[in-house]
Amino acid sequence: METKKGISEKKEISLEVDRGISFVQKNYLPRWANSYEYASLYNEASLNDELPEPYSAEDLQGYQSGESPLRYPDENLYDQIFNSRMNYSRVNLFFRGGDNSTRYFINLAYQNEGEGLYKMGKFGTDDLKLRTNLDVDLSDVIHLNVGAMGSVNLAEYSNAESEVWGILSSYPPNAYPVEIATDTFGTNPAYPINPVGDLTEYLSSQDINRTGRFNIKLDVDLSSLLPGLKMDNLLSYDMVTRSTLRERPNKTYPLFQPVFIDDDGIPDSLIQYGLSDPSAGVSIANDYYSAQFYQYSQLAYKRQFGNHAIDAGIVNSFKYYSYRLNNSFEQDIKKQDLSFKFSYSYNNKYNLDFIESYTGIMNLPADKRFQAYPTVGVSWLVSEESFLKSSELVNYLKLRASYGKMGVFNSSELFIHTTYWDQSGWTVFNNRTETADGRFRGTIREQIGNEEITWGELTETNIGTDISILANKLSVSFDYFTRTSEGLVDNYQIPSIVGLTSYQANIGSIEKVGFDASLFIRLMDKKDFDLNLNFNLGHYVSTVLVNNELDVPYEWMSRINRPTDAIFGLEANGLIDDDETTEEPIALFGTVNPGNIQYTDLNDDGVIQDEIDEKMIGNNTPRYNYGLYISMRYKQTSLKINGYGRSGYNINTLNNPYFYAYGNSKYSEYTLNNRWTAEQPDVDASHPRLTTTSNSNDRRASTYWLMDGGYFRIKSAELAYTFEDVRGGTNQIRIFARGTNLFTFSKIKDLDPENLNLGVTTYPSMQTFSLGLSLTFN
Amino acid sequence: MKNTVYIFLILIILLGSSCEDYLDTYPFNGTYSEEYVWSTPTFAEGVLMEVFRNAHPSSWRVQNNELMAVLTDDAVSSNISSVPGNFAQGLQSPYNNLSYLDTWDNDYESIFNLNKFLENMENVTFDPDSLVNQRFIRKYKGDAYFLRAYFHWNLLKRYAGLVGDQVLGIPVVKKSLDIEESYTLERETYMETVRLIVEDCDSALKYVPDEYTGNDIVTGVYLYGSPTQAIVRSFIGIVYAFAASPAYNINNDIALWDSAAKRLSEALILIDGPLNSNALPAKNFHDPENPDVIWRSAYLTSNYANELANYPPSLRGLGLTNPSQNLVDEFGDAMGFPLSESTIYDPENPYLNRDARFYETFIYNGSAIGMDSSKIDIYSGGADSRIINKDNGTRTGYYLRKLLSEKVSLFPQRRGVEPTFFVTISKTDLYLLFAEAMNELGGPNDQRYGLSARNTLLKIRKRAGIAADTYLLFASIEGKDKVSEIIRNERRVELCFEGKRYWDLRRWGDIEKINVQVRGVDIEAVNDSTFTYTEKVVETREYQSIYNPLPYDEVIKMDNLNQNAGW
Repeated sequence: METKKGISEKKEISLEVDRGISFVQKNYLPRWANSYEYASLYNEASLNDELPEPYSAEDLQGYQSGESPLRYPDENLYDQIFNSRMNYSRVNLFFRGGDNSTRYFINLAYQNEGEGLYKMGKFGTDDLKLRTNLDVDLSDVIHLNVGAMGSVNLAEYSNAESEVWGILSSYPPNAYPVEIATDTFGTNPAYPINPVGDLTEYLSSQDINRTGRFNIKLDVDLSSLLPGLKMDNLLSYDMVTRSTLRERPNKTYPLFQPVFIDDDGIPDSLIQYGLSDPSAGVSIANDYYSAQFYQYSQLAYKRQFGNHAIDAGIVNSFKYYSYRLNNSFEQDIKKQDLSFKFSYSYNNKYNLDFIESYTGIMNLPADKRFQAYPTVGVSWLVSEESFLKSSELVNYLKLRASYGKMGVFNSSELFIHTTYWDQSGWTVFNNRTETADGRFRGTIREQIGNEEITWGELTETNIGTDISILANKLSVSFDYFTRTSEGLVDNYQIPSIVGLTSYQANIGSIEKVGFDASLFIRLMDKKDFDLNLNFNLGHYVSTVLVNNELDVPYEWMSRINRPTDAIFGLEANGLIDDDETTEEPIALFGTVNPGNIQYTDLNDDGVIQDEIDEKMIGNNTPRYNYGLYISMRYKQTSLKINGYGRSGYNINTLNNPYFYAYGNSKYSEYTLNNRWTAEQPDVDASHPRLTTTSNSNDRRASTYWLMDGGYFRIKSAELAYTFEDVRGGTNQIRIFARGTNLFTFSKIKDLDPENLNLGVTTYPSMQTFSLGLSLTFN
Repeated sequence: MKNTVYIFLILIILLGSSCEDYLDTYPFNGTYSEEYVWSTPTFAEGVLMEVFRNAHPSSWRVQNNELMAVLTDDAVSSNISSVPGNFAQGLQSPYNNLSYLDTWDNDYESIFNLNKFLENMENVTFDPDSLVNQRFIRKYKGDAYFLRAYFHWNLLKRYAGLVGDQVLGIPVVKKSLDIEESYTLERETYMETVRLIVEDCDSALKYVPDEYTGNDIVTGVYLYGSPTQAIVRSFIGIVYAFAASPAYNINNDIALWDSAAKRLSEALILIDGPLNSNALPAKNFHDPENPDVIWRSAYLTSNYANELANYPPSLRGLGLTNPSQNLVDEFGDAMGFPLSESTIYDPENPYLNRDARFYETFIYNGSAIGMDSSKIDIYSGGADSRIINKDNGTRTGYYLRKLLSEKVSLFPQRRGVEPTFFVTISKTDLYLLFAEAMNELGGPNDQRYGLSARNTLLKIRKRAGIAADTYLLFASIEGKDKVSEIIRNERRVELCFEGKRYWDLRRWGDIEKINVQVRGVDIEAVNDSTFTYTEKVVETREYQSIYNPLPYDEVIKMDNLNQNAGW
């Protein structure tokens, strides 16, 4: 994080208070079937499997009427555990001031999220940050800047937290009555965990994160040695510690299963599971520490000689990073960079940039660890030429191109060039008694070193333009780029008869091609009213050119010349029709019935197989990322809107229980509404036939489970009003309202398209509204 | 003055950039150089010990708790999407082989360790006392030669196959290879591979002791499980018996059976103890004193993995291995007659009056098992039927009993553990191979190596409780072919679920016997004690060849590695 420097010479105090509410986005909460629907669907699944229906008509009637909630529970665990909103508050305090030679800045920020979303259990987060900065001119030529930052983050959470989402996404609504009586929690041997009970009874853990950062910057003006010469030095030290204090062993408490003999709906007896044991101690579960030291020095020379401008510099930097997790022994990570840069500009029209960088990493032996790479860039400011200089239409036109090479080393392996051995498991000899055991530790060769390993090379080409027209009302910037990485480190496959199957070598090659474009429109630019519009669009594809693949028997199996984010899977042909179950191709993934997924037999051998019949069926990262930013001001009122979108990618919904239910899993409304049924056998249904088994025919990567992941979202908006000149001077009061996740447009409507797990296996998607006040006094 | 300060500062920067060793890594746990390994006795020893650890499977399982029997007509898995089960139904291919059958990488890694060890071990000080050290060097040399033979054998068993009109073995590697020379290695012929394996065994015989016993530091009982004269000789016998078998001895060279019989008899003479009289299969795998064992894994304590995988669902097991009706039918009646010729077998009551081993091998409808002698109901609707247990109920009508300990219970709570071990070479196996070799060589009554095939069989069957073996005595008069059939049947019954049949079926070389329908039985209860039995086909074995494929990747990577015919 960049520390704000105190820049003003005047004293200024400002306070910003912000209090907000986050609402759960109800429309993106998974809608699960209730007990009646669940039981009906489970009966249907059993019938599909030719098994007896587990729920009788009487049971169904019981679930439907809801009159005996202990006997026929219909529990919505989500609603019992979570509130529909949570509050947070933020306070931010700044001081700044100074005189001609000294400037300072202090910022104190505090944030609290209260209990979070939970209705029960111990939860809470507090976050406190302090930042200071001192800027001193030690003399006319020496300038010192000292910054420090410290933060403490405390998060308390119930020890039951980690289990909650697993249960919410898997336990059916009729698993057990959650509370049989006050503080008497229900259970069922098949569904042994009661998260409401656990959250109420369990103890909690506390994560403590501390971060400290300190930096000194010393800039020296060396003009007296040589005009234009300057030296900058920076030293910084960052430290992070993270520890988890856990109260343990967890307090245990009894759970009860009600037993019903007669029909009155009142339990006739309770079976107790577990005992009450409130004992507890505290232990440190995790202890993490990291520190980073960074040193940077630059000797710069910048001078103008008539029409010629020169900017040159030598930069040297060191980075030293170390971390420990629970006192583990880890290698410290070190890096060194040396670079030389030179820019020449003629008349500010023709520019030439040259950078030679010399980077050292510790992964390679001493003779290879430093490598030099050049980058050259040219630009032409066309609008400065006489033929355009007076143009009314074109205000600014620049053409840019650059070409450069950089070293890449894509392995974190530190001993990649050496052959090394390590100890392995224990070998035991014995006859009959364990006391007479012979125990020996095995030794294995872990790696065949490759002394040839060296840097990989990234070649980057960039062509771009910046255009501004119509009195700077419209600006466009466009960049086309190609980045080809060659010599990426990967496992090179060798005959395993030598005792290992591969060694590391510089073999991989990936090409990334794309563009970035941005558009800025100044729609209104009056004293009382301005309106600006920003739009940006980015596109790229990364393609594997070479990897460690051996010849594959069929072309479609190859990863080469396919995108790096390709999803491989089977090609689904809808669901199987009544008369097709015994026809070829036969899928060897278990029993197949009408309503199961049918696949294409790519190699026509009559059999559907993993790998062999799998081809690229989609890609999992967006091809297009775009953003929209609108800012508007009318007198003292301002409005800012920020949105972004993604498109051109697929999401695999197979492992999301909302989209696919099998075995004993929970049923969703999606399953309820879209499933194939024997009565209406629709081969295009978007959920295959229900089953109580772990259907491994349907449960594998295929086009059937892919959905278009595209969406556009208004991520945030702020409406503010500023009272200027309060009580004279430049004092300011600003009130504002902010909101996040305001609107979303997407094909996937049921869940949050940005992350389909939200609300299913993790915390739900939230919409936040806040009101705030900011006071600034000089 | 000021300028001096500046120049000084500039110098600091330039000096900083010339710290050559700034980026050095420090020596790190887990990355030991080869020099370190050979100069540190515990590490040097570890190179050999690593191989020992891989010599015996660490459990009876092939993959995901599945026994090797599900690859054959002896059993199916209750899990219909079982990986081994799918392999047995036609999924085997060079690019997609079952890891248990595809040990190329691991076995050659072991061979690499052994070669490195043999090349370097003479200069290692295993013990400060130079006399003891010399004895250690001899012992370890014997171990390494034997294990090198054993791992080549593991590969030969898996990858031998027909190429053109020749049966090829595998590339034999007797030195540590560098990468360049590995590309051009070729497969030896089957017999040349055998010769090279036996050559290593003969070297081992110069060094290995008779037994591991007492408190001696080199040959004490604490090293029990290391090769002995008996283990090496038994192994040689097995290698020859395979070499003489029809799949590899395509010209039917009778001399190979002679070598097999001779080598097996040498081993049996050396072992010369009684057969374990109490060796009904279920008792075999928990008793560390079991004299039937010639070579086995170490003794695994605190283990209920087999029970968890195979007990019926009502006893909280996964009911994974379901023995087939095919195998059940091979168990004769209590008098030693096959079911087709039995006078006491009643198809209406198929589980009465059966071979004593039947009761030790299977859990069948109505049998009692476990600590609490729980009755197992497999009939349709019974607690352990497939209808009630949709994922792990038996598909054949039987559950596995052999290998499982009755001292372990999983229900109502887990209690009891019993040690278990994995037998790699057993006396029963050797006797049956010997009987097979003798019968092929000279018929049932040939006694040139001391014991005839007929008498060997009598010995095995007598132990199984068949006292007056009239069936065998009459059958042996019918001659070699009839006895050959009985021997093969006896191997199947006696050694079932011990991981032998998959290899036996292959060395016998008849694809028709491999690709058969695997049957089960549907049982309907008429009343509490009367049931009807309807046979059904559960799975079909569909192997493309009696020979396994070589791994696709290796064939591609190496220049002269020929794939077996049919792949």
